Amino acid sequence: MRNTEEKKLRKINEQEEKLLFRENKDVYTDIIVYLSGKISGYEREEVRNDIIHIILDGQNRNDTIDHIIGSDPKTFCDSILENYADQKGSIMKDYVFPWLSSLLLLAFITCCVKKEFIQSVKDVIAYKPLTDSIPVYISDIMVLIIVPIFAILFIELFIKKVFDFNSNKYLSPAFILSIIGVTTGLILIVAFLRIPVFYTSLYYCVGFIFSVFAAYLFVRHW
Amino acid sequence: MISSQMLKGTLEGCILKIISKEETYGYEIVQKLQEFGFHDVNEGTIYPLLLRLQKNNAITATMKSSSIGPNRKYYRISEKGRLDLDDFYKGWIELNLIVNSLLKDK
Repeated sequence: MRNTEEKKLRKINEQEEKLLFRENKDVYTDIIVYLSGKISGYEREEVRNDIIHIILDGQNRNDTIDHIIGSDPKTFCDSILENYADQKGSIMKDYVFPWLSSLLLLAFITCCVKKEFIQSVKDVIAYKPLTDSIPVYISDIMVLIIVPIFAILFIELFIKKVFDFNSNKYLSPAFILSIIGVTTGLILIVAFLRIPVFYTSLYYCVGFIFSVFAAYLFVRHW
Repeated sequence: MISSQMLKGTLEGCILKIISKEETYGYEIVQKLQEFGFHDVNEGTIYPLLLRLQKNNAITATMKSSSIGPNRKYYRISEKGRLDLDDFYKGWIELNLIVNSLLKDK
């Protein structure tokens, strides 16, 4: 029920955000990115809605965001977060959930791009017997480990420290180098480490995806 | 100039007092605080305090449409809020007496 309300409010927020003036949007985005690292779900959308309305009301009075929220958005955010310090499961929320989300997506993509997986699905539809024909490569295992870890590091280094960067944060050397480094590394791993570790069947692949999905749902509703 | 530490403890009670008089919204609360001398206060200062008051059930909030702009959240004091305001007032009187006598002591 809460999930439906969250989705509804998120849609409203996405519409109302479009009314923010360009000069206010950068600071607003930094605020929301910073808060999203600590508050989740319906509460995040509620706070987001409040902040949008505070800024829109200020725009109506021809006030700038400096005047509305103050010149220190980080302090503003930290004061808000003091009200959510008792949110349970911050380790779950901060680390386990992003790790599971990226693992789920990767597991699904890794399976779907394998021709053996697609062939196995066709075999099931055609009532043919299944065999352990789907290879699991070293590169698959490494991608499933490295990318989710990188997702968590990304949150720690960039989202939580969004106010520590200057206005050209997305052009900062650290950000660009990390993206290039990880992308290059992953391409090399996929290209050169396609060595099968073991073979498995469609049932185990689907079972793995569903297990990760069940864990994802559990943590999401934690 | 009032330090932010000093302000932190008292602003919540002041906001509660303003809301106790009539249902009001964020910017109106800021304006009233500024009229009383809290010149450095803005909506960024009071919003986290309003959140805290809501979480403590001292105030309730209702979104209302406005004829001159976007929808606004209006705040109203609750019964618990009136009790909290009473406690704040008693605490302030006591603190005021203690600090004044301390400062007057040469």
